[in-house]
Parts: sequence; C-alpha cells; structure tokens
Amino acid sequence: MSKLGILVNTDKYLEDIVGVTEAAKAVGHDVTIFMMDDGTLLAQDLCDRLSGEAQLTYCEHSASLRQVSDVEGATSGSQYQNAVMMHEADKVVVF
Amino acid sequence: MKILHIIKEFTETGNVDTIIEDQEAPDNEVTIFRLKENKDYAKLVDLIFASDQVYTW
Amino acid sequence: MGDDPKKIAVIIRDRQDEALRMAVGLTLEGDEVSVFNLGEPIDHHGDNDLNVETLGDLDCGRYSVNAADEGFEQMTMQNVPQKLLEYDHVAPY
Repeated sequence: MSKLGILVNTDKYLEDIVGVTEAAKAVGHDVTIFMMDDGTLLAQDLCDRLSGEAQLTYCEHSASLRQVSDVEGATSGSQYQNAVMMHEADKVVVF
Repeated sequence: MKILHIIKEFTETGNVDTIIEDQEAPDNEVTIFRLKENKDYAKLVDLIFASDQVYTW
Repeated sequence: MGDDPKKIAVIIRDRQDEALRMAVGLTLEGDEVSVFNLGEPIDHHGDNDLNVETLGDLDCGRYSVNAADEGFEQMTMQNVPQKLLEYDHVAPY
C-alpha cells in the first residue's frame, strides 16, 4: 500500500481533490490531506465529502486568518503536520 | 525517468512550459495530464504512482 | 520509503510569504528542503526576510532566477528543470 499526500493551498479544486482521493482509496492507497492558506476554506467541505477516505489536517494559523475553526472531521495542526505528510508520502500532489 | 506534470484548470503556464520542454530528453518519459480536459481520476492516480517524479502546476 | 530524508523542492511563484513559511516548516522532519524562486524578487516584508535567513541557517538550498534575491544562488531558468530532477517531491506554490 502506498501513501499519497495532497497539499491543498487554494480553494479552487474541491472536485479534483475529492476525485483523486476517492480514486486512490479505490485501489488501496492511503491518503493524507494537509490544508493551508486558502485551502483551509475547503476544510469543512472536504471533511463532509471524504469522511473515512483520508486523514485530514489543516494549518491552524491559516484557518484562524480566515475565520475557519472547529472543523469536524479534521485535525487542527501546524506546518509540522505538513512536514510529516511530505516525509511519509510516496507521492505528493498540490491543489 | 518517468515524469508526470499535472496541469490544473486555472494554472497560468508561463515558465511551466519551459520546465516541461527542458525535461523532455531522451532519458525521460514525460507525461502531461491536463485536468481541465481530463477528469479520469483513476488514470491520474495510476500515473502518479507509476511516475518517478510528480509536479502539480 | 522508510525514514531516510526526503529531498523536497518548494517552488515559489506568486505567494512568496506562504511558500517560504511552508518551506521552513518542511524542515521539521529532517528532510532536505530547497526553495526555488521562479517568480518576482522576494519582497522584504512580513516574515520573508526571517524565513529566508532561517532557511540559510538550516543549510537549505536557496535558488532564484532573480539577481536581486540576496542570499540565493542564482540560476537561469534553463538550468532549473534539470536541477529539479534531483528531488523526491516538488511542491509548486
């Protein structure tokens, strides 16, 4: 089983992120998503759409600047979670 | 080396084209996947894991 | 891929501040992080100068196509594509 990391730093590609995640899970890959910058604006939508499909974490610093908080289904974190994702992932894509 | 360049819908290519062109060498197998035109996510995932290096522009 | 350090390239384009902040953060797992500025010269506002300095202190590669970027190794756009082939992950920002 391989690991896919998805860095989300814009709010433009919700459907692509969901599509890639579901396709990766369908063939047995683990998916981790880290949201920062404007990507945190997708936090609740991604949690709603990908519950159980991916491990979701977001940058608290970015989120607080955008009045995003208490996202159910995602872990509030820091750039450390991004570093862990990049370190552990076999492949990384950016949306 | 297998290289995948994923081009997102709203990307302004600019110097991305330069990078892709310069990596198209005999030793490299370069694939371009344009998400604006192609939503075959299963194929995209296959390509991601079959590639040595992945760029998302 | 085990616990070996990864080589990670962060490509700076239009959001310099967030790209630099992220690059500093990516060092936290012991990976080898480099930044490539392919956009405008780095603005000396906010935390940019501190983040550039921190990347230098951490021996991260700092490359730029702009002569105005102090502390960065100058590259031509023609040399960037081959250099990027050295990395495990490339994160354009």
